[in-house]
Amino acid sequence: MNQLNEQFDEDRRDALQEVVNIAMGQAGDSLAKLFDTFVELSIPKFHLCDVADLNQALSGRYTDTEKLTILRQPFSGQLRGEGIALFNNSGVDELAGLMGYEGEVTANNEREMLLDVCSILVGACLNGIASQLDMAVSYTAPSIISNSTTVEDFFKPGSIQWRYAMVMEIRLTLEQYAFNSNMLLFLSEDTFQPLIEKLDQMLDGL
Amino acid sequence: MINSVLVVDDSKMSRKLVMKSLPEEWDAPIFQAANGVEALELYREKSPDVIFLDLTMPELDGFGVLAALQEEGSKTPVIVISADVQTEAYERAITLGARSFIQKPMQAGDVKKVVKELGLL
Repeated sequence: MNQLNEQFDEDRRDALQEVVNIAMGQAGDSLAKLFDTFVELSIPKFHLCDVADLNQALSGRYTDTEKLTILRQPFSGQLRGEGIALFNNSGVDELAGLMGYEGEVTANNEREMLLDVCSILVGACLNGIASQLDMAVSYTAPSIISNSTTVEDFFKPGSIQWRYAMVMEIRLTLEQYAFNSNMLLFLSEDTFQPLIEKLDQMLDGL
Repeated sequence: MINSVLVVDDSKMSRKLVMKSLPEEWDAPIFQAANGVEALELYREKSPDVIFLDLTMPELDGFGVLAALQEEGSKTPVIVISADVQTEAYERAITLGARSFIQKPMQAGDVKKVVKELGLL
């Protein structure tokens, strides 16, 4: 873990954070167009941690009891890992209205909307990262992991397949709506070295 | 005549990229700020002739900086360079007095094109 932290020195972290920031802007724009409302972007948080410590790393982002809907979008290629999208359940209730859906919202409709939003968010963000770094990425279908869980329950030990996580936290909120989304991008360890090489190429070009 | 430049961005890499993109003709000191609070301090202290401003930053974001400059009656041209590419972000920035808006990731020549359009070159 220490070695990993050394590899991602200050300059590389700064470069990666800016790459993610730009990608997040593109994801925010996609969401703004979908919802026809302004999306407030936060500064992405970036940290490397042992997955066993993930719960601690994410502590404070949500209340202990806040119920969340969590989706997973795996990706592969030169960037490999998975995107986890967390939506607050009070915001999920607003999704149909935000997406201009009229009529009764069935559980199936809501499921499709969530999958669409997850796919748009994770896809826009990862495409933004991959295109800036000139790395190939492809996706498999997103899925809903849980409709009602807490961060503490979700990130309990053993729930994530990766040993180390490069966690990029991206928070998007909507003005005048309860809806908010946090995206966590987990990158697999075999992605770290090619990623470092790409970041160095960017930095060398300055 | 540009006598000094202020580049505001929380990313060191982005600041470097902006500085590298400035016209060679501007042989002027460049001041750097990593957030909106530092930016306003440097603006008041150094009176730069042009400001390149990011929007999403800690402490005080770019919208906050633009609002403060507007309130102070600043005439210094501000060019926003931001990853927030929403139409509303552009409109808000322009309403708050930004003279131009460059979307990140910047393309080669973006900065020179804009400063030329604004008559700063």
